[in-house]
Amino acid sequence: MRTKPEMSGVSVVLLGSFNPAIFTPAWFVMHDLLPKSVADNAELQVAHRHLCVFSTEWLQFEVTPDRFQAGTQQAPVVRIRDLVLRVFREHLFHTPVGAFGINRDVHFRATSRAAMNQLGRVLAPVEPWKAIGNEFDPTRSDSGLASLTMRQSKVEDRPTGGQINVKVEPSNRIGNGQTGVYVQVNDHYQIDESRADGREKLLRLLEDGFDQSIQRADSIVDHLMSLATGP
Amino acid sequence: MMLQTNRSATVQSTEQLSSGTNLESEFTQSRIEEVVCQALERHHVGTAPHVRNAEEGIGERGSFRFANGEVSFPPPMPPPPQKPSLHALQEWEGYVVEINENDFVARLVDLTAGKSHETEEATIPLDEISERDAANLRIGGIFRWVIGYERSREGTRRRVSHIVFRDLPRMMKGDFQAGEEWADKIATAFNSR
Repeated sequence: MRTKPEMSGVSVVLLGSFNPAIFTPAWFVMHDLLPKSVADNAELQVAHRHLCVFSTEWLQFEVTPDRFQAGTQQAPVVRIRDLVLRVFREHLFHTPVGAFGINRDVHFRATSRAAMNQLGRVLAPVEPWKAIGNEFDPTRSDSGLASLTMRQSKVEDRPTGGQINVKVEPSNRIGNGQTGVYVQVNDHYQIDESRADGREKLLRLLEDGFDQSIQRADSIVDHLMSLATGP
Repeated sequence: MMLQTNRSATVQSTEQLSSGTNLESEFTQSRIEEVVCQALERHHVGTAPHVRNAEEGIGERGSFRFANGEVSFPPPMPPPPQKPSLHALQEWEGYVVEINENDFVARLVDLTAGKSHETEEATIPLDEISERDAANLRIGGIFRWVIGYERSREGTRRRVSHIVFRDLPRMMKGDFQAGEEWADKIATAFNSR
């Protein structure tokens, strides 16, 4: 990437039918999915049959009955892929999974407030919005582009229903609302759940496509960075 | 082009929630409340009489209203401290070819340069890896080596080198079958020439 991100992370989200109550740090240790030393230092926030949330030094984890999410903000991010595949290939053989997403989150700084405005103007020109009477004063940080999501459907390398969603927003984490940019790339794969081999096919897509998905997301972020450079 | 993006018209989202995203806190009380309220709503149907009489479903954030009163959630918990983040500037995948007393030799694939086969060899001191990884070190072990910068909880940054041995998924019966099918396909292609 042409600009060093201030923060970045990756998560894998699976949609299906899950039992949140089992996903405790102790369960991960029992199945040799996490070292005991890592699990012993985990911060367990909720362990309930409808929700489990915990984090370790590198892993953030959240499960509800229809959603499984594992993420990290620490490279190497491939650890998330390996962990998810081990959970569902080696232990939860029969858990239904109908879709998954690989999410890349990046917070970076535009080179200046003007460059930040330029990014917003390019992605969302203000002219069509003048009818609402707002001048979109570029010197103000509280007007202009708040959130934009673009979607690509019918992506070639996946079954019907797959999408790539790109979200751009001012960052709430860095830049004090002046120069921070947040980009999320959601790489979504889904499959007809009635197919007998659907779950295995999805896991195979995750296994084979993870690195490529991250590279593609990074090139999208890099392009957006190119629009946020200038004096 | 404008797309219809209301929930009913789109597939269920696999976007990330909470940590790492653009939310103010890593994990908010509202997420817990949302899930608990959804659970209460689900039980609405026939099992809990006091819930069946609910005047309305989810009330304002932080409460769930029933005919005979309102259940309030406790005050929000403070978010957990933000974890340090590590962004890779350079990343290699390597495998161990030789183990010595104080170091090991590995062949490396430069992932940052988009390589798919090893182009470099490195001798890496054992001090660079964790005690757990050192204890499990073996010929053929696969690892990722990252050079990047770490952003601390306080926002300060420093360059770091980090080696992590991978816990790869085990080969399953289906993997061997897929491998055999692939090999048969290749053999057939050669034999047909």
